[in-house]
Amino acid sequence: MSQDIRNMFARLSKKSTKCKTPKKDSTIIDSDDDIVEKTPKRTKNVSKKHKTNVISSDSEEDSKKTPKKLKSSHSTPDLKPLNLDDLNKPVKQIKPSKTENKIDLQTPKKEKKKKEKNTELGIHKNKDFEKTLMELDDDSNDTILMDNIDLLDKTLEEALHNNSNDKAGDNLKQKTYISEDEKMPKGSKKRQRKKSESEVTPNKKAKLDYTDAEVDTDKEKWEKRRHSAALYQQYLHRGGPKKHGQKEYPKGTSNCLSNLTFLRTGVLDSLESDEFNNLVQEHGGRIVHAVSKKVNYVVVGDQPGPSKLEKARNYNIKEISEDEFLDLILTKSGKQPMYAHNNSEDVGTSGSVEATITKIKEENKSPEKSKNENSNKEAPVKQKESFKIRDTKNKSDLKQLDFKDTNKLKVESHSKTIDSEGFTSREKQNNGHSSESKLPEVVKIKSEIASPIKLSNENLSWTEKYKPKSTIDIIGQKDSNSNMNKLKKWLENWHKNQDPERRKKLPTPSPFNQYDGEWYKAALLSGPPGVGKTTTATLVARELGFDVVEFNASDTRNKKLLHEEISQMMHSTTVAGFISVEKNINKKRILLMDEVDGMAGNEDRGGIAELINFIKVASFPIICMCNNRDHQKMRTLVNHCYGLKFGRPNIQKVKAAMLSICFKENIKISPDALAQLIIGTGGDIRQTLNNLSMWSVGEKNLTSEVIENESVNSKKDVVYGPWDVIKKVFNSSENKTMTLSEKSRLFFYDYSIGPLFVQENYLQVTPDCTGPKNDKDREMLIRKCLAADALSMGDVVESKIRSSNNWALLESQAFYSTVLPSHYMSGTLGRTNFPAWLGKNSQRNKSLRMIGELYSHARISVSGDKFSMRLDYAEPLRNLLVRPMKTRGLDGVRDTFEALKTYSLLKDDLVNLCELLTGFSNPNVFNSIDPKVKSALTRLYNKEMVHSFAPVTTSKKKQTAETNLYGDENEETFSDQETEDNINDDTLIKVKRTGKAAQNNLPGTKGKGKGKNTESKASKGKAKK
Amino acid sequence: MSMLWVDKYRPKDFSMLDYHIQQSQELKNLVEHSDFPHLLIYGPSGAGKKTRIMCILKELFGPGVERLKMDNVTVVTPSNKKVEIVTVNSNYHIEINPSDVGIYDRVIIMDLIKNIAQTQHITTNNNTRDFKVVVLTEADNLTVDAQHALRRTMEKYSSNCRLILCATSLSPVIPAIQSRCLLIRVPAPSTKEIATILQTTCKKEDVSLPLSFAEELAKVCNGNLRRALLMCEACKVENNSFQDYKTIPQPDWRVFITKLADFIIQKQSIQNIVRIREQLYELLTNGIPPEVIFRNLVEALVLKCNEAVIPFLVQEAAIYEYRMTQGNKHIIHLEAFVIKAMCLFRNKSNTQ
Repeated sequence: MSQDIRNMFARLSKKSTKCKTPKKDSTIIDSDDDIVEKTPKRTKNVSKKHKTNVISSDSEEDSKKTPKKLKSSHSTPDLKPLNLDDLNKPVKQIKPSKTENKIDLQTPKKEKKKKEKNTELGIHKNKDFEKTLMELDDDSNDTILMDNIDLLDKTLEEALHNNSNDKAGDNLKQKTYISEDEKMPKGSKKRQRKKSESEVTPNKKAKLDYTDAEVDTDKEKWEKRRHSAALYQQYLHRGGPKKHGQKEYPKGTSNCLSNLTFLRTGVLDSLESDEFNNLVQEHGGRIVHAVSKKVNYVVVGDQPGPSKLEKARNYNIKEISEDEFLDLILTKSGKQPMYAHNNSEDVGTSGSVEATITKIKEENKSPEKSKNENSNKEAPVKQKESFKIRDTKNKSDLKQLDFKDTNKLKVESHSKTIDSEGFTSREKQNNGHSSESKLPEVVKIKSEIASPIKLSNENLSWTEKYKPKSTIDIIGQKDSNSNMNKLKKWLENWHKNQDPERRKKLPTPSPFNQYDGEWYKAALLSGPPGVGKTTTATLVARELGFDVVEFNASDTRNKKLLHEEISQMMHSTTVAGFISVEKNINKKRILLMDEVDGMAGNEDRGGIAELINFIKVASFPIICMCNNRDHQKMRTLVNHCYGLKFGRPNIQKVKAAMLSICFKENIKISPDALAQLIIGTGGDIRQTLNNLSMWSVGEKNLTSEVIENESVNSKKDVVYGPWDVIKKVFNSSENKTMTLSEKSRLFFYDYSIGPLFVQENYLQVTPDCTGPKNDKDREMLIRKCLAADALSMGDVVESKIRSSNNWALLESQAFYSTVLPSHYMSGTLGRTNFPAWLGKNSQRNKSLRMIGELYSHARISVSGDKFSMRLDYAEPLRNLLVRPMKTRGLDGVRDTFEALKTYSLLKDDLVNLCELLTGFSNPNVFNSIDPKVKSALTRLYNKEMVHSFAPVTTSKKKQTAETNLYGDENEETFSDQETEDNINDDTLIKVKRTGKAAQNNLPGTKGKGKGKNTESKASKGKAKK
Repeated sequence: MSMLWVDKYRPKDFSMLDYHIQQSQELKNLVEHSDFPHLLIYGPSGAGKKTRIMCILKELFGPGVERLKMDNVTVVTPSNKKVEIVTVNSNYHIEINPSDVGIYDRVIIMDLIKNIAQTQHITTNNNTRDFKVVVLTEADNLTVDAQHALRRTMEKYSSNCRLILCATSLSPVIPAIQSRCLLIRVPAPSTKEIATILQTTCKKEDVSLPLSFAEELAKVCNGNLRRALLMCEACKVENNSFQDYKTIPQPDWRVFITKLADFIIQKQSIQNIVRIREQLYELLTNGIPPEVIFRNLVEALVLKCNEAVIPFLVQEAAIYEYRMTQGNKHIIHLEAFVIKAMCLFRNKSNTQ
């Protein structure tokens, strides 16, 4: 038997030299042999360590070795591809194989040995150590015991403990014999490796392979172990799909794979396991992970699990490659298969895994050969690498190699396993663990590197993901006269229309009729956010073949920068054409000014003016976008732009679009709920999408109840005017459900005028009375009283706020001025009135001002303060002034005038005084005076009045009492004449007098007596005419 | 000279004063010594404070103080706001009412008064004293800031400037100012005094005034001599003699408030409140000070309402009046008081 093996080696080595298939992915190590081959060429470092193990085995079972080899060679054909997953969870699988192996051994022995082992275990506390020991001793009879224990459904660990009994001693031997390693023959080395490998993998895996084998010797076991260990190592280091992302997903019908069950084994050519699962599930198929009769297809990939293949073959399940699988989708959905054909070429050139696997079925030995060849070729290279390098490289290599070069990786992994044999068995264990722990990390990295496109697609927000791809997709812009189409038309004809000749003929537009904007060089899209202004503009521009240059609020757009950038743009060509395949340089450009209403502040000073200048001379179309075209800032721009107003899209249309997205994202939402959501966001498609995507994370099934709650939150804040607020404050129908804080929020909508509205209207409210009905009036009165009291406190608080700038008190004011009245008075509000206080207050201020003037004028002769002036003086004073005129007519004018003079009042003061006293339904006395008398007084006044002070309204000059007297005497003569002259023509005089009065008031500072004289003369002259 | 009696027969010096003879003698003595302190003269309106101030000034500087002129002074606030104020001045004194400019009174105090106080008076004749007098009227309306600004000025420039403050109430004047002044209280004249004054005045005007009517008038005027004289004259003007008069004509605003009080007492209903609000607004827009409205309203109510309610009514009135001085919008507090009063009356009528 041993000869056979050698022959095989010889053959393999020959082949390896000749072999021209360069880098086949030898995935499955069917037999130990391929690994064995590497060993002979090992450097001494490596081999040393192998021998430690070998010695132990040699010493015990030299004789056994040869048969082992025989068996292994025989057994290879029987080996079935193991699913490596199974290797990880082998406890149950172990049982059958081991029991078969060594059932003949006696149970009593087992028990005895158990005890012995336990005692020995005490010596070697390190578990790893114990494990290695036990594994080394596999050949011994104790394995039987162990197997039986397994039968009894004990855990793997226990089993290991049991085994370790005998090996403690062996371990010692290992150490002692290290020196002899070098002399060991090749065969021993092989054996060593087998052992070490089997150590790493739990015993059980190998056993599956032997289900059929009836003759089980220790050597066979060795072989199994070594084999499974190799498999495990491979599994740990196996790469991702070779051609990941290179194959297009087949587009099959959604349930073309229904009723079909798939099992995947090995690394597929281009699909990650997740992708594969998704693909199957998408098409209605089912995925299983264990072989059973229900499985319809086994999709075999690179490095398939032998056991799975074996099982599958037992059940006569059809094995297919990835390409066949993809084709299956196509054929099942009634399309032409397309993958298999392409792939067949690959097989020839790069020798894909699937090819090798299929070969396995037909000729058992060929895979071995190919693998051997591979290993032969590459092993030497790797051997040179020093031990350390490999170790340190481990991680990084894994990352790199996994992804691209599975060949290399495998070699590496092989060499590593070989190297690790050199370690003490304990170290190997550690290695095994560490490599295990690395595995997830590797996978993660793989997915990151391998699928950048896929990831970025998933990371996109929904608003980007479902952005309209063409103008047709834009929601609510499908009508022929929609803004989108208008814009399109405008843009299409832009160059034609801007021809100077043609432009002259175009009708000049007015704000009401813009004639499709033909005349305009720019368009202004306006509308609320989220209705698709920017999307429309960019898509239209793109579809018409314009190159888009965009400025938005993130760019500084002041006068200077705009000037530079845009003028550059006008005189340059774009490079976009060079990059694209067609190589045509696009002369058509368009300037998109997004968010022009954001052009404000110091940063963008003069930006809009500059923009308008550009629009006037533009040689390319300009599209501006803003939210509110009626805004002050937009005033000038609007005149230069073709205005396109984007309204909020129809809810039904938005709903339809959203429903399709929900379907794609697998969200279940009732149409009603969706409609509610859209209303809540005010037709803002972007926000609707954002809300949907937020909730989709939580629960996929959105009922209208949930939405109702959420849409309250998602509702945009609405600012109420005071008229709305007052209704909410007092109408119980509106504030019944409000919380206190919501009520106090009502106050903050406008806290300057809100309280006034409350104060004005609380009397109009009919509160909901809760008390006994017969006493309703009283209850209402008490409620009003409470409300009034609260308002009074509110006013005090407000005064404190304003006088001491203590704005923190606003909350208190909110309670006094809004919440409490609302609480007491909640009922039905009648007619809402505008606060009268504002008007009344200004009236009051006016009368106070009049009193003040009166007081300041009369101050010399009057004692007392301002208020006594109003309360006590006003009426007698008025009587003093008016009575003479009233009772005696023209004769009284002189008396009145004298009174005015003594109190140094102006004539205006008399009018004011009379007006002041018209309150309390008194008539205005001054109006009842005969107009003739009044005019006489005015004339007299204008002629003769010289004040001892300069009235505030006219001048600041003062006049002494002396000049006053002097002036009086002078003028009296004139006045007498004049009154006689002009009694009759009232109307004429009136006109003049007003003119004179104005004169007198305006340049009153000119001269004292003199000025008056000239004026009076002039008036006299006119009167005479 | 057509002048109102009040102004026509106002005493010009100490010898002409009719009441508080003792006090005026003391003042005269005080002024005769060249050195006299800052004065704070206070007392109810219509008691003769201003008259006494003028008497003092005349005693100090002679008849020159009676030649008054008015002046407009412009002061620029730190925030570059121009504030104008009217001053009344003679050669010897200046009279200012800082509360004319509201919250800017502090600027007036700081700039104007300081300027006056800093400059030395140039004496031209022997009679004059070597200090100027600044009369601040309505000193109780000064803001606290202004009063604090005044403190230092009062001390620093006391050598060439004296202040005479005139106030109706002492309580708003900060203690620091009070302690720097000689406090002189001018009490309201008694009804008897008023009656005699009225009679003497009428005699000067050659009108006979029955004593009974004079006393009646004096009672109504509540110690306000000015009002008494004005009303007296008004009665005379209406129909030349006092014989026909049974009742004294009240100022229209007082009549209005009395009506309002009746209204409250008659019917307590929501519609009534709405109407009362209108009336209150009318009072306010006519320039009647809210304090006066309050006072008169309460007085009118007290006269007519059930005795048992009075304590509560007055208590509530006090509360709301206090709030009114603290607050901004008088109508709110007036209205609140009215509704409260209605509640009280209603409760009372219910229990009966």
